[in-house]
Amino acid sequence: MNKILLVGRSGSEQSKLQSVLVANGYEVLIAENGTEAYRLFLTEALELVIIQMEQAQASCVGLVEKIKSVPLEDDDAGIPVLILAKDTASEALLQMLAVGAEDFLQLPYSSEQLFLAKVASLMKLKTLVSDLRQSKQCISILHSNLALEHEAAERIFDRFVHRTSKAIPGLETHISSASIFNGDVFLSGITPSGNVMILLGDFTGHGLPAAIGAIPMAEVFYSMSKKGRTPCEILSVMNAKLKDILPVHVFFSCVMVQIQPDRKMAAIFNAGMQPVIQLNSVTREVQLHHSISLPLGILTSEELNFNPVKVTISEEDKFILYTDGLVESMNEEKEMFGVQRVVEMVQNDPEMPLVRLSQAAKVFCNATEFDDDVSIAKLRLREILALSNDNLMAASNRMIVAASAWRLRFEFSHENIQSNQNPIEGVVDAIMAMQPLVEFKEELFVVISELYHNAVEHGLLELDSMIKNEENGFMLFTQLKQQRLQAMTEGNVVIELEQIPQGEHAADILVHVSHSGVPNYDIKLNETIESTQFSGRGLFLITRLCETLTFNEGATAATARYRWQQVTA
Amino acid sequence: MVGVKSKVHDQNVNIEISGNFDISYYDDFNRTINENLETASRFVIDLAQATYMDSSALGMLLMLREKTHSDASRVELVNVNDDVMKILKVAKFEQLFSINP
Repeated sequence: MNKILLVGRSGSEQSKLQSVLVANGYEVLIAENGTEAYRLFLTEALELVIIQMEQAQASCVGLVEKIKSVPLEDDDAGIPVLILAKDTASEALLQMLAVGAEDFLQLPYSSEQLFLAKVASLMKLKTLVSDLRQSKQCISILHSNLALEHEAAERIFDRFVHRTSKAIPGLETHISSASIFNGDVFLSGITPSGNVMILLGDFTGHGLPAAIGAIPMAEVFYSMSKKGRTPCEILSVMNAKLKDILPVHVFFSCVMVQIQPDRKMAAIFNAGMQPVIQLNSVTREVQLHHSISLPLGILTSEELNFNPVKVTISEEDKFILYTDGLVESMNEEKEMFGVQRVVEMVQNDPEMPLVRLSQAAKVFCNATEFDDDVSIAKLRLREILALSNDNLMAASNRMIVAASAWRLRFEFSHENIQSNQNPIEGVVDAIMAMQPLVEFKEELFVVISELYHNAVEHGLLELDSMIKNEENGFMLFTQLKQQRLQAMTEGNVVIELEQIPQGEHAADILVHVSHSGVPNYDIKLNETIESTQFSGRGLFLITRLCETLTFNEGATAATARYRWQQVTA
Repeated sequence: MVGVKSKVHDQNVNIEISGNFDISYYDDFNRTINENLETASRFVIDLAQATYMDSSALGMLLMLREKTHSDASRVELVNVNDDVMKILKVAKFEQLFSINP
């Protein structure tokens, strides 16, 4: 410990230095020439080299050079070199400092204390430098470990969260890898009935908690859309899962878009995201679909309403979805990039590659802060609508079991209607048990639930759907419905289902829904029902999905004839 | 001044937020809430001086909501400017808190 190598010609000066050092607890080795010094330097564990520079100056420079050129381990700071010189103006001293000697002191020194202080500080320096190098090395190991873990996680994410089960025609995405670990999620797939589903979402917060939630979301999305579940059902399960697993301050904002090519309709559910842009690339008209719900993971699924907004679509339409990062990029004046700029850009050039949007945001905020934490997706409907529904269905279809005849009957008492808000999911599941028809499940669900709700709202509760057309009418309608529902003391709704095979690979399903309430003269099927009107839209939908829709006198019973047919690839 | 300032009047805790309401306010915000949680009947979050609010700030409001047992009458957001209102509107937080411009 504290071993010092003293290099210099023996004599009284050397003896004096040696005795001062020894007296202060250092162990001193002596070398009289450069060769001996270098040998000791290589073999002994030294803390400091002191060179008395008086003679053979050139060999002293050579010694320092050799000492300083020995390759060092990463955590080794090297041995400091102190020069003791009589002539501090000499060229040789400058050279020694230039090749790496740490410090010098003029001989004879003015005070012994000064000499000892220099020795001590150089030895301390060595420890400091080597500590620093050790931490640096430690950090660099940690860093490479992290990089490796990051890479592995990214692969898992690519497989899980960003995999597309089937290539979706017309879909373009810009998803930066930085955004993945900031909790961005993009999922897409085609349902058995040929509907295209996409979901873009964003967890609050960063890092692990945000990333972890993405995996169950992907599982729910893929497994449920494969089974032909509706957006409403999928969102409800997603929300319940997140409410369960997420800490209270973390939530999931997302947009789900379902394209129904055969009906030329899209269902959009925006929960806490910036508006979805629907752009007509010919007229350049833009519709914004704003957030209609709290983000997922905050309230229980019973407290939320997952009904999406339904819009009509055309071949010229494009949907553009994006995460907050794009529009919330701020410039130095604290101004945000904003939705309007995005809208203008896509209006000017509907075919523009998505990366240009993110570049524009980067230029806008002067690139200082922008870390490309954005995900953008664009869906061109031309490609989707160009494929026939049969093609889309065939892409995911299995053979349907041969059609057989069966009947099912469900009767809902008024108590059941009060407490069971969504009985139709169970009804459709029962059909699936009789005849697995995953491909047609969504349509059956729509038909049966529209007829059921129609029976409850207009038949039993005697609500006038014209209310919905008034200002705030929708809310008023919902309130009124709740009030009357709670006050209801009698009444029932009956759903009867009958399958009539039409050959081996097709059948009609008769959906007969009746209620015990007042005759419902509200139904005016013969008049044209505008799709923009709030009332009557449900029945309009049924007429488009079914072969026929008929009512008895007074409309206390309705019968829809729904036909399914196996699509062969 | 940037940060979290609180005043207690009767059982009303008035919390003034100034600057960019983000994750850096977490400690102060949380401490202020915890210190007053037992005694306060109402928290009024004054956002007059808040220039911006990010999703972690929304997260902090959710924590406050949980601590006050989701009782909407116990938390009120006041002096909400346009920028902050936009963010609250997108997240539909008006369903969880009473919000006054």
